[in-house]
Amino acid sequence: MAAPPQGDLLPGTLEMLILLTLRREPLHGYAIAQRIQQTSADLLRVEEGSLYPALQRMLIEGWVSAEWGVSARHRRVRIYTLTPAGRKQLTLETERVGRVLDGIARVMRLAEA
Amino acid sequence: MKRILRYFRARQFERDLAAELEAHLDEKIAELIAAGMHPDQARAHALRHFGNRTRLLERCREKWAFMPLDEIGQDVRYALRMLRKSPVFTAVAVLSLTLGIAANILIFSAVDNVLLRSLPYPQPRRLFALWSRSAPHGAEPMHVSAADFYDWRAQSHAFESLAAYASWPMNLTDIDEPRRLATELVSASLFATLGVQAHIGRTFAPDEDREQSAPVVVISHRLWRELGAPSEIAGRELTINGSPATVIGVMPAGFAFPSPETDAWVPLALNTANRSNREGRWLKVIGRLRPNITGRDAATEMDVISRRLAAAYPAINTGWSASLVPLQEELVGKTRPILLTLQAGGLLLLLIACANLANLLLARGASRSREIAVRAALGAGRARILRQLIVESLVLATLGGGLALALATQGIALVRTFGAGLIPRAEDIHMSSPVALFALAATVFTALIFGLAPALDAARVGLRAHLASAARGTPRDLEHKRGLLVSIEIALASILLVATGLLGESLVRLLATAPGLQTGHVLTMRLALPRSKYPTNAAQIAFFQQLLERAQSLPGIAAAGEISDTPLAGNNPTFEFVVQGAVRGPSDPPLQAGLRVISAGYLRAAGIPLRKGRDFTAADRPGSMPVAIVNETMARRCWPGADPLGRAVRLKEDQRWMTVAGVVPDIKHMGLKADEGPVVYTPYAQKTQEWLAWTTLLVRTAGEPMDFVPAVRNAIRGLDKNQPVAEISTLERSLARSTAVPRFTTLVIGVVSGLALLIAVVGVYGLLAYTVARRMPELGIRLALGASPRQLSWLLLRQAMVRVLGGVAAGLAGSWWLAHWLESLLFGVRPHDPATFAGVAAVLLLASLAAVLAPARRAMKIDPTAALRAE
Repeated sequence: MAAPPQGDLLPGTLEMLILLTLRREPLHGYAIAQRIQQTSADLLRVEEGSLYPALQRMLIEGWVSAEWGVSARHRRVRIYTLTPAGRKQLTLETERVGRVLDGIARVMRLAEA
Repeated sequence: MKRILRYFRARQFERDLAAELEAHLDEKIAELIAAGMHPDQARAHALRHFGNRTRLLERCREKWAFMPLDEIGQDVRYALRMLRKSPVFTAVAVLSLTLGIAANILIFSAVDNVLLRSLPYPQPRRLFALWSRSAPHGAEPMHVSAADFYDWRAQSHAFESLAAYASWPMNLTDIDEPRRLATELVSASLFATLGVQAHIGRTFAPDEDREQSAPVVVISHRLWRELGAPSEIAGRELTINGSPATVIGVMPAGFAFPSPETDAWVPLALNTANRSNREGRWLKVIGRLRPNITGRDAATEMDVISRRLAAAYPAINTGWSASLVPLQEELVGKTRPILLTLQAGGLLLLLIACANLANLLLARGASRSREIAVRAALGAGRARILRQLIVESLVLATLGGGLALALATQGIALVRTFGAGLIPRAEDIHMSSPVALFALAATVFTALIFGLAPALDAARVGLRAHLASAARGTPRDLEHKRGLLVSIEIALASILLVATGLLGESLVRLLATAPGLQTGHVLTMRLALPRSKYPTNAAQIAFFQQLLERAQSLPGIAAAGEISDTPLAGNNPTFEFVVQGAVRGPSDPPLQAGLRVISAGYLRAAGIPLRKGRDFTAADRPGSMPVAIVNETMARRCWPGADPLGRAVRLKEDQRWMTVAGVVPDIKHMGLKADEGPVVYTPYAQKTQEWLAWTTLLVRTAGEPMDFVPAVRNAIRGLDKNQPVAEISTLERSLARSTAVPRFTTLVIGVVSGLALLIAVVGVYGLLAYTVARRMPELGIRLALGASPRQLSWLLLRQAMVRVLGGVAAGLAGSWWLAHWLESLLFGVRPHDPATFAGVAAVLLLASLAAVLAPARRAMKIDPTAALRAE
């Protein structure tokens, strides 16, 4: 019953990454995964097994809204858009992740010294 | 609201998600093909990457943080299927829960109604019963004299209102079927004190209990219905005890003071002499405290008043005080230990049922741990599995609880029927929802805790370990837990069995007690003459003399007699007597003895033998020498070592000496449990008390006594067609009624502990059966290595019996500690009766042994090769 591997992401960062990606433009699920992979220069991979549950949760929380549209390849896809609540959440998440990263950076510096 | 909407959108959501995932796959495949991959290869690659799609769907669904109703439905269906697949488990679990819960609901409904629910009057806590008390009289609460009552009422400030009442049966005539009325003489303040209003008309006005007030009566709802429920009842005249009385009101249906049998309330219109009589203590008194006055304040004030009265009337009131008892306690006090015992029994049974359920669920969880591990491996989330197990436990508890509710609903009518006359206010008993909820909660709690154990175990141990261990059976740890539960069940069952043993032994001894009279074939009925029609002693004596002669001459009647209070019915009025020539010191207690006024022939009709002297005869008439017959206790107490014949006693209130003409043995006049104390019998024909206008007619018949009722009634009608009879019964029935409460208590506790024994023994059986199944391979190896089957079964027996012995020891120790609580219910048995304790131990050990023999024999028949191959 162990949870499946969450990619190479720090726990809790996936939702922030999705929100960040959606800030620029509305996207469908596959495109979100691709975009994250590309912008991180292939450093971060988003598994489908994590992506869709996260999207569902965000839909329920009201951070994103979804509408059926057509992809660049002319396929019927569900396109996610950031909502005002999502924007607010993004600020919170960014701050939180920033603090975590800051903390980790400090610890790493200390360990190197 | 949002959640409900979401539920209706759940199907839409499922479709959307599926389409979305499909699109995702297509995008990926298209991209891979665009990158130059072969379409088939691209599809396989994408799918591999995608992982378990069902799992993904499941996890998405979980994000919809609510439980879709159709999934619960699915869980319930699955649970029912699982339960049906193991019918024995289901039957045992559900049945023990049903019985445990139903017994508790029934018992607690009675307890709640009688002990916990307050009296049906406003501010019931302010109501108290007041008794007179005097140390020389043994400090027993006694009735109150009229003069004391009126003085209390005049002087007390703590009570807002005081009321007196006394049962005074009267006759209702000039209607189709003359009948006796259970009437209460009451002070006009009674209804105001209780705080109740009439249903129709009004209750008494404050001055309606004066001697010269017009005769009025308030009737019960039942009597009103019997009269045809006329709406214009107020103002109608009824002939009560031969004189007209105007009905002024009808009480509401539920009003039952002082008892549900009460038919009518008549003002206590005492004349001046009776009002100032300080010696005759015959009234019952209740009072309502003023607001903000405590019972203690009132008691202090009553002490002051009592001292004042003692100073004013030293000859009579010296040493007398008043005692206060909350009315609720007064009415239900005697039933309390019985009901609490039954309730304790019910709770023990519920505990046993819960332990049994826990035991079953643990065993079942163990045998299902493999199934759970497999489901987890196939991708069921931990939450999903937990939910499934919770639903299963809830289904089980709901089945048990539902059946219990159904059973209790049926049973409550039985409790009302059997409880009538045994427990106060039995007619009000109805299902008590708090206890139903409590019992359900207890079982649901048990079901959840122990039903979840395997899932939590699985989570702790980890999937792989579980899969591995499930194949080889479960840890011994589980067997220890189950063994402990079985020991607890046995211990609780032995406490119940000890209670049953002690109560049963008491009952046997009680029923074996000789009543002192011959109860077979004796018809009894009660007649009370109206004083208006038979005002003098002579008229009353003449009527009863003629009645006796007519009764004796009826065919098939062996003997007839009359007595002032029906034997075995519980009434034993006592009076103060003076013994001629006895010197009484100032601190000696006054001689209180029962007074029974009887006809010649009574002793023969009742079958009471004479020890000495002679019976009363027709020659003991008003003018002849006053005589008396005493019982042996009276003879021993008044003339120890001397011959009582020829000695003389008198009632303190009567100057006439009566010569002792005979001695009879003591009988169980008030029921088998109590001794009657000293008793003086006097002849009815010589009575001087004009108020004694009633008698109980006893007829010893040749056949079934009730067959003679019409003949005897005819004889009475022949004398006076308006004379009603009441309480038609037999001595056998009175005897049975006097033992009804202990029989009822013992029966209930017996049934409860029988169930407990059954459940506990099933637990023992289940434990060993499980052990044998689990250790089959090991036992096979032992057999293969040369152990004899007998050795094997002994090994197993010993293990199970150690659990049982531990339980029995703990249970008996607990019983030893608890037994004194039963003391007030016991008769002729000490709470620590060694035979009972030994008997309980023997019963439990034998029953457990019988239960473990079957699995042990199965172990003896193990085929080593088959057992080893199973591994």
